Amino acid sequence: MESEKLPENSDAHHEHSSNCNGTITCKDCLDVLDMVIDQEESPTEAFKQHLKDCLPCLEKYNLDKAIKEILHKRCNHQELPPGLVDSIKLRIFDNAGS
Amino acid sequence: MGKQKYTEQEKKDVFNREFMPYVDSMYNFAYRLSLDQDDAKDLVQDTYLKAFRFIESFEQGTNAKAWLFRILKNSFINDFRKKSKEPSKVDYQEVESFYNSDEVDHPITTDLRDDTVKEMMGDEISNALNALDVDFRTVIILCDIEGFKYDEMAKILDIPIGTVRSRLHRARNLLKEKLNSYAKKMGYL
Ligand SMILES: [Zn+2]
Repeated sequence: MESEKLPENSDAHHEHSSNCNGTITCKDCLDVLDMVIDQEESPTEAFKQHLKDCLPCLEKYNLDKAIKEILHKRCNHQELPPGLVDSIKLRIFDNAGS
Repeated sequence: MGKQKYTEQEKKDVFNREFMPYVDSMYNFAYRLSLDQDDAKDLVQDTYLKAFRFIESFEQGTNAKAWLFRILKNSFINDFRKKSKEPSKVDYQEVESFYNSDEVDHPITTDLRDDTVKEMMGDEISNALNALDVDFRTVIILCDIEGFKYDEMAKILDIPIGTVRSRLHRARNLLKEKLNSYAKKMGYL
C-alpha cells in the first residue's frame, strides 16, 4: 500500500550560516532561533554573541526554550486505557493464524 | 523500497520488538489529535492493525516510530477528521507569507517571559496546546513533545521541510498568544 510508506531519505540542508567573527542582525538571529532551539543547527559564535548583546532576542530565546521544555515534560504522557495493549495483541495474533 | 519477506513468527517478533514499545507515544499522539479517549483508543488499535498488515513494507532498522506516526496521522485524517464537525481553519498561503515577510517579528506577546511560563501549571500549557487548530497542534506535538527532527516531520506529514518550519513557527506564536491570555487571566501578568 503506497500511501503507508515513508519516502526515501531526503537530506535537510541547512540554509543558514554566518561567519564566525561577524555580527548578525536580529532578523538573522530570529531566522535561526527555532532551528537552534530544536537542535537542527548548532549556534554559531555570532549567534551566541548576539544573544549576549540583544535583550529582546535573548528573552525570546529563553521563552521559546522554556515552553519547549515544559511541553516535553508536562504533555508527553497520557494514561494508557487498561487492556489496550492486550486487545491489540489479541486482535493481531488471533487473526494471524498462528 | 523492496518488500521484506517474513515468516509468521518473524512478523510477530518484529511487531513486538519494533512497534509495541511506542504504544505510549502513539496513544499520547492519538489523544492529542482527537482530544477524545475513545477515538484515541480506536486510532491506536487501527494503526497497529494496519502496521501489522503492511509489516512487509517496513524495513527493519529504519525509524519505526516515524513510520507508525505517519500511519496514525493518515488514519486520523482519513477516518476521524472527516466525521468531526471542525474543519481545518489553517490558511497555508497566509502561513507562508507570514513567515516569508521581511518584518522582524519581535515577540507579539511582549509581556510573556520564561519565568512566567515556568510558574504555570502543566494544565495551562496542555489546554493552550489543545486549543490550537489541529494542523498547528500536530507540529508542536511532533517536534516538542515527541522530539522528531524536521526531516522526520516532513515525512510523517507529507510536506516539505520549509513548510514544517513555517507551520511550526506560526504554531508557536499562536501558542504564545494563548499562554499570554491565560497568564493574564490567572493573574501571572
Ligand atoms: Zn536581536
